[in-house]
Amino acid sequence: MPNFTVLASAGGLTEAVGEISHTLGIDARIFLANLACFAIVMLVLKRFAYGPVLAMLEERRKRIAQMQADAERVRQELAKAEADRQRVLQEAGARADRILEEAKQAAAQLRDVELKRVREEADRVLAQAREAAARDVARLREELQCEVGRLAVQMAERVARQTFTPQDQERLAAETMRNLPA
Amino acid sequence: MLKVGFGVLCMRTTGRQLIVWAATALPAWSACASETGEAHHGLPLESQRLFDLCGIPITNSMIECIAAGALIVLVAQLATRKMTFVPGRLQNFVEWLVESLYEFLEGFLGPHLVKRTFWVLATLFIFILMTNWVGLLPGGGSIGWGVQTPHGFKVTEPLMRGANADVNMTLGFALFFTVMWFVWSLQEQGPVGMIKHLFAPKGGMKGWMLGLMTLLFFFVGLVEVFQVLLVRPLAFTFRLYGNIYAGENLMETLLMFKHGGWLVAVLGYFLEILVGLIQATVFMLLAAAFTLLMCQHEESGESTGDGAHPAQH
Repeated sequence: MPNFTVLASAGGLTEAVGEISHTLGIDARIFLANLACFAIVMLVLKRFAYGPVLAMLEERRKRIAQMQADAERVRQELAKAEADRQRVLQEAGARADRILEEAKQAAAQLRDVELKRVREEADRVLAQAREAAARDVARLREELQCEVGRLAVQMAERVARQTFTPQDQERLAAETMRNLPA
Repeated sequence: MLKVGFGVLCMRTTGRQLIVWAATALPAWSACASETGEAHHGLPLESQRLFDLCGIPITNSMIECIAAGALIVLVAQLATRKMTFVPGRLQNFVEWLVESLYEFLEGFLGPHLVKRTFWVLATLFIFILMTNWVGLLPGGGSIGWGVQTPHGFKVTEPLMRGANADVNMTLGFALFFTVMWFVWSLQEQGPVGMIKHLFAPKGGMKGWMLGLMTLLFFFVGLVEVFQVLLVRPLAFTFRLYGNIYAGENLMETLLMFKHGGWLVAVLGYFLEILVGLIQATVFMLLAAAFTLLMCQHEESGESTGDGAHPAQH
């Protein structure tokens, strides 16, 4: 500041600036030419470098984000599919177990029913057999009684013919006929 | 005269000699410089006019500026001509550069402000970096016109000179950013908001304190305007110019060493590569910081975008 004051007070500020400019080679034409060169480079870079590069970077960022989102979605879908598969497998297993259990129960039920039916059939057959046997026994017994009675009558008739009088024979026959079961 | 030896090719042109150093000429550079043995006066402060084109003087720093600009445009064109979803090497490199810069500035300025300012700040960084690095290419300051001295050939007008070792270039960056800063501030704050931002008292004072603060902040605002219009452009201009000019001088001085100068110069060369990167970063960061400071909204104390505060980054 003192230098400025001195220079200004001496009226030499303009001369001082001119001298500095001359010493340093400051020239308006060179200055403008340099500035134009810089401006051209700046405009070219803005048009052909920054714009396309930043657009490409943004595009790449978007694509990467999209790819990440897609990958995340695929991962979630895969996890969901895996969960679905596990769930289906579990459901299938449970259903198979249930079917197996039901089959076992049905088989057991069928076995019981069949066993019962067979037993009833066997009981029925046995009862029929018993009834038939009883009927045969009764029939045979009747036949035997008839036969025994006939044989007894024949025997008695033969004995009576040999030992008893005809009156005795008639009396004994009458008594025998009375004693015979109805 | 055509001289070929130790990586040095000298050709006579119209009264002048164009000396072409081979690309691998750092040792030759050192040796030749040592052979001349002249008192070293360093790089001139101003760039040298080579010829005129349509009334415009073409200087050696402009040649370097155009070369760097052409290289940037070429790389950008090659990388983005046929962009694919799966990038090739060049496209991948350019995408990495743009994305890194964008994310860095977005973290600093917020998503809203970075959309408005990215193309300028990123170009400032890339252009300054490229001009710094292209100026370091072997042959950058050693191909040109010169004179034959008793101690050998001496290049007096190099074909190229670091673009940022010319005040015209760095002043151009500074004034261009100042204009853009003004435009962005108007867009974000509006004329009234800008005036309030510069001159209105802050802190919610009342009573006589408000009057005192109004007066105080008015003078602070005047200082701020002075700083924005004069100090900041000058600081931008001479910070970059000084660093690059000093770096070129340093390299030239290192090459004057008679014993092992080229080895020291190689080390200095890597230092200059780092300085070139740092200066480009500093310029971009300061520009971003000044933009953020002005485009912050007073009522929320946050940037226009996502409320990111520079202190948080």
